[in-house]
Amino acid sequence: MKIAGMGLVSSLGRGVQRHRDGGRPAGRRVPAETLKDRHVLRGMRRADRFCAFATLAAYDALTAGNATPDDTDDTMGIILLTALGPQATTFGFLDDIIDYGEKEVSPIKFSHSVHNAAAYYVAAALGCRGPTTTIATFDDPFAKGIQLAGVWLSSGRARRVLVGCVEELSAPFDHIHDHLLNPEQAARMRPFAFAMAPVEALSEGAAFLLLTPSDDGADRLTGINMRTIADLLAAAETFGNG
Amino acid sequence: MRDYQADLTHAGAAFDDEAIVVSGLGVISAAGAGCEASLVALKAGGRTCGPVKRFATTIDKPVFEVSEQLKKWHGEGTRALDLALAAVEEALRSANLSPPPADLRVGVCLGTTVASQLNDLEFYRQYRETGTGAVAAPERFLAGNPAAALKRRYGFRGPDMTVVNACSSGADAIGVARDWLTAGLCDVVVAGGTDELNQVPLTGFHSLGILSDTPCRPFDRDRTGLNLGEGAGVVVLEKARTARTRGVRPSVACAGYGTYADAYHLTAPRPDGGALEKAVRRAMADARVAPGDVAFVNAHGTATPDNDRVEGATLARVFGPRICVCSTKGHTGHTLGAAGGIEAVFTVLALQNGWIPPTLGFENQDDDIPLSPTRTVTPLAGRHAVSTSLAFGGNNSALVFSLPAGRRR
Repeated sequence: MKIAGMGLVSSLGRGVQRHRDGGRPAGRRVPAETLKDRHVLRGMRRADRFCAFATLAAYDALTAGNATPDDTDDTMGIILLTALGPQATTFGFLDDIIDYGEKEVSPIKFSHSVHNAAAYYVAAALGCRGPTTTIATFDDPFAKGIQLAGVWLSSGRARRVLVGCVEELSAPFDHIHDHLLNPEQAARMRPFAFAMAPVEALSEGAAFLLLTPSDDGADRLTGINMRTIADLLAAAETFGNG
Repeated sequence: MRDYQADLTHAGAAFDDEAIVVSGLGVISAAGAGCEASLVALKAGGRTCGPVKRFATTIDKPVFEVSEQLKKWHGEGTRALDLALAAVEEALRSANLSPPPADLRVGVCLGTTVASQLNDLEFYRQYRETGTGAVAAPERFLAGNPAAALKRRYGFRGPDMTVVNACSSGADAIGVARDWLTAGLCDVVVAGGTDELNQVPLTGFHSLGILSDTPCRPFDRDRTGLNLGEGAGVVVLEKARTARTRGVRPSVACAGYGTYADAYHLTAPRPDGGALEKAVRRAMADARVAPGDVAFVNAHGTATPDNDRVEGATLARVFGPRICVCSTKGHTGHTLGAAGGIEAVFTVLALQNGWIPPTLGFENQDDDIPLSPTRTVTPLAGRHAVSTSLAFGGNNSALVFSLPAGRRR
């Protein structure tokens, strides 16, 4: 299979070129103006930032592959991977329970706290009606997603697959990071503690690839282990973007 | 009652080498801990739902809780992992894989919803009040990704994946496992779903207004919503050639899988059931069976007005109104990410034992649903069965399970 398109949203903003150009982000969060795309995000008034990251990056990967939502159908698959899911919405729902009681919570917050809400928004915005799967993992998300995409393409479950990773910051998880996941804490011996690998600094965003069968049928992406946006860009340069 | 384990290992008929077979089963739900107990409960048809007992809540809706004392995960584990452990240990034992040989590449693919969310209210309450909070709950969460945790516990050397497709997670995990085996990514896969019931999903489903005040009534004219439940259901899958090499002769194959998205609404099913129909037809195409070959459908059948109307009409369109359909939600409640796994196990047990469970709660025909679900224990006539799952987010998935040719009931 090959990478036919790529889409990126991060604290640097939106778009592959912006990330190739580098630069220093203003903060760890995706800038608010990055999410102001009324064309792609129409019909997503109730969606949270996590869903918006995913939808924008998936849309950009699709269009970078010379396709549009009008070209998609039930042969287009989606694989969305995340470690933490829409955690700001999850904590927002807990706020509702604590502040208003069990019987006065927001059903919209609850439905958007479910991990696969973002995959639904991608599917709805881009008209993808093929297999759609969300995977929760702390380890090698892109490798797992690409491997499953390869299986879908070779078995005929899909002719094209959007594979993407999405994460979102939250204040509670910053606290958890400071106490469990920064390298200094992670170096301490904690019996029976098997958590995700130490992380220097947390950030947020989404990265999507549009994968299609390669022209010669070779499975050239096998064995790639991509964990970061930098790795993703390097891989795209290596294997050709389109 | 027949001994299901003997049935798993001493079947007379055989599958082709490349067939993906079910060599082990494990299940725990409010209907019972283990396959034997579940068969007794499914046949007896008693209801075990009642008020929430395991945590404090002001929501007075019946639920299906697992009452058995669970073997604890080592260290600090989650209840979802405890439930998974019960099902996985039974499944590995019944597959003669306890422990698995070192030369087998064993993968693990589990579905869940609750175990994927850091939604510990006590941690969060403390964090809000003090700006800090004990990290035990987050640590449990970080270590509690079900597939990764099981891989570590058993030393599995194959791929691991935790599928979080809401209520179709368990079925999709089994579908992914089937695809892994077909692609040769591993030799054996432990696959299914696990979910615990806690205050957060109970509160969330209550806010959606789809919890019933009474025991649920799948497909019934007077159905008023679902009851939540908890549990885990796990199958062990491998190629028939691998099973034979190990001296195991499974009696049921996981013959097909299909999954398509509605791309219609976050919480409501597409009214025409088009994606569900495609999922069922793709699963049957994988299995090379026609609608007329299918003996019964173990339906998602949550007892919400929308789900049952769309699913019932779609199944009637694909199979005709005389198809034998059951829903086991009246025995277990809706176990969310575990449902597809538990119902896959029940479907395999039905094929092995020759009878289909009653649809507890179904009494009155709904004029909008041209199906007549089982009211009593019903003899099985045929060798193929379909299990369907519909989910939040518009996922529609179907699995086909089959007895081997020459083993028609």
